[in-house]
Amino acid sequence: MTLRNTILGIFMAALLGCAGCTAHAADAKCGANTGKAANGEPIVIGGIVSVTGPDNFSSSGLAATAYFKCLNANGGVNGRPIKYQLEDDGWNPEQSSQVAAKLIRDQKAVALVGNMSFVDCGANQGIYEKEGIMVIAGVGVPRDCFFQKNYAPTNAGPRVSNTKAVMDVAQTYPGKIKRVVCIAPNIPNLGEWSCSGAVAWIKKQGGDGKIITFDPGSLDATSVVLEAMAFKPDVISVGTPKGLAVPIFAAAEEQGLADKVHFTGPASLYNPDFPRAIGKYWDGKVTVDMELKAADAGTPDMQNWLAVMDKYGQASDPRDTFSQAGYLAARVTAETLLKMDAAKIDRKSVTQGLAEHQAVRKRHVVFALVRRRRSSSQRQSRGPGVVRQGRQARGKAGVRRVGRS
Amino acid sequence: MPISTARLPLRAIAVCAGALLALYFLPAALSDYWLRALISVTALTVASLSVSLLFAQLGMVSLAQYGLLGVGGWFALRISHGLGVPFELALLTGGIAAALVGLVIGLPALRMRGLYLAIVTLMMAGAIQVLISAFGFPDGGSGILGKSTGTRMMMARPLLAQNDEAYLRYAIVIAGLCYLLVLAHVRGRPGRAWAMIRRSEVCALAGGVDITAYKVRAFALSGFLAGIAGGLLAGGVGQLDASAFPASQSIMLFALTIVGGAYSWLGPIVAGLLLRAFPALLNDFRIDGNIATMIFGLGLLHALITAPRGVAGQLADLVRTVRRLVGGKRKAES
Repeated sequence: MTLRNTILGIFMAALLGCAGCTAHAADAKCGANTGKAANGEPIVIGGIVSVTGPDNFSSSGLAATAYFKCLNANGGVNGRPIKYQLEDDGWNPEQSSQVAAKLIRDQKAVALVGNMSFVDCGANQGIYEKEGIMVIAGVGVPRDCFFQKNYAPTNAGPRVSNTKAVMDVAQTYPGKIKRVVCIAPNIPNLGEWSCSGAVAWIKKQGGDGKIITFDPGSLDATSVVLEAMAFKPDVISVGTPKGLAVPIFAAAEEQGLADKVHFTGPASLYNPDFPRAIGKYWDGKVTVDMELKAADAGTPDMQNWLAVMDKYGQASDPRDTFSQAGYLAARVTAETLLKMDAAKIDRKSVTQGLAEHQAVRKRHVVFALVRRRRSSSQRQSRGPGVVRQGRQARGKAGVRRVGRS
Repeated sequence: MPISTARLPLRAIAVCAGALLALYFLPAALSDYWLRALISVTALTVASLSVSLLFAQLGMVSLAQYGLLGVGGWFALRISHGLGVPFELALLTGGIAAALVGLVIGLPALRMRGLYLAIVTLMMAGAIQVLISAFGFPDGGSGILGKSTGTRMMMARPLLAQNDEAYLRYAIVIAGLCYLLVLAHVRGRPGRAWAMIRRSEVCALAGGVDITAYKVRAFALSGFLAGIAGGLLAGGVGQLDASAFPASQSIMLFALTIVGGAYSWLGPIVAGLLLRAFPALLNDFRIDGNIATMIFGLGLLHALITAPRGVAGQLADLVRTVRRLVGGKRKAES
């Protein structure tokens, strides 16, 4: 182990320890924080995530579930509890449209919150607009999520995230990054789109880029990696969820590529379990983008998110960037509902209330929330929001290393 | 002169009237979740009908039918977005495009059958999967591929069926027309020719049957049905997903057509229900829908070992048994 890694490891252990202490020490605060359970007429809110299929992509919905449980235990929405119904779309547009109809038309949900799916935006665009329902998604993935009238994701999306990740590598190794490969699932309006920003950026810098898309249902990781290497890249951005990225990194490890190419990825890889999943071989050799603050940042928001997850979530629920996004989506919704007359809450008023929420109007609710709550010193310390993967430790200008813990 | 009621097919009239009433009232009684699930069931019933047509009439196994669904859906979407034609025309275009591709897939069938034909058609399904994965489905953009760079367009539904309830009725009517098309073929000259080919190609040839023409016709008709199913599916959701048409789904479609009963008109309906309603039921009860695949495997084993005529055959046997028992009791009472 190099001296640098040792120092980073010690720093990381200290940070994780502190994060653990603060998370357990803090009390979960939600809504009016009355400490009394709400027992009025439930307000139905739905959520659509992808549980079954190529990867379990649901942490945003699980965090929203935990937040609403916390809210219900703390007075709910002026006495009315939230009945949060989370549905699985199985990465299938047909199933996604079925569960959307179930939530919106059968269950009469007033809003959808914490959505996190690769197919939801495309499959349900019509019903969301037709039924006039607002979706405060945890995570927007395909392009459709960022072009819809009634859809407000809390994240900036994989296109921005991939571009930031590649830019960070290029800035870290000035003059050495000329050729970029971006890998993404071939889901409509996602694959090429999510990589196009990074490729366009590197081309503008005088370099070249290649986009490789694959079928997430039948991933042949070795073929993908070999196809990527045929382009002779300096950087490979793995723009997939964690579950699909792990076999790609395993295939790259088999080819011994860690020292030949820089590996990076969007925020979908910001997960404390990810370094463990890809193994020690990759320590300090992968950077991933981070859209929100680090899980162990120790800010009031991050502490409360961890406290809510610890008290009201399951131990198995991920504490990743998408979990943060789901928590925020639920909190924005709760803040809006709390300002309304509880007796007059219906879909129309909730849609209007959410549409008028400053954060939703700015589309990326999370940035507004974080900005509002961050002190000026914190604001300065926040860098480009890129996570460097190795051991979890703070690096230069807000860049963070994540590694085995 | 009074009409003799004895000559009227009262039973058939009663069945038709019952079906019409069910067609009107059943969608109105369903939740929106089940309306959408049954739209998919109806589309998959037509797809299963295309498999059973080849298997039951010609004894041929085609493992490319789900890929043809994708072909039909692709062309229906492209025509609908590109030209803004009525849904019916887009649906028909999808059917014809899939029929042409089906015809190409059927060419190896002129020289081979059984396992070899199954393998060749499966490879064709793989080729379709690769093409669909590479180019995706049209979503309102310009150019040959119709890929949008802005907001995605949804496929326009028929004027008569804008909401889910009406679209389910519409899809059932289309499925009924597909059944009639198959029935017209089976009861006509092609059906007799197919029966002879199934029994023995040598005998069929000796009987003056143009084997090539009738085999090609069967594959084209089968492809047409699969294409119609793809168009119905695209109209139901408004778009199609490139990852939803893997070659493995063609195997699943064939397997469940066998489980449902390829030799009966009821079989494709059972297959459609198994393919889409059963996972939807599990999902509704918050049980992992993938468990359905395991149950389908057991169902296929059951069908192969004990019920070669599938669930439809078992249901027919059950009805016969009940009738015999009821009839026996009546005779005993009289």
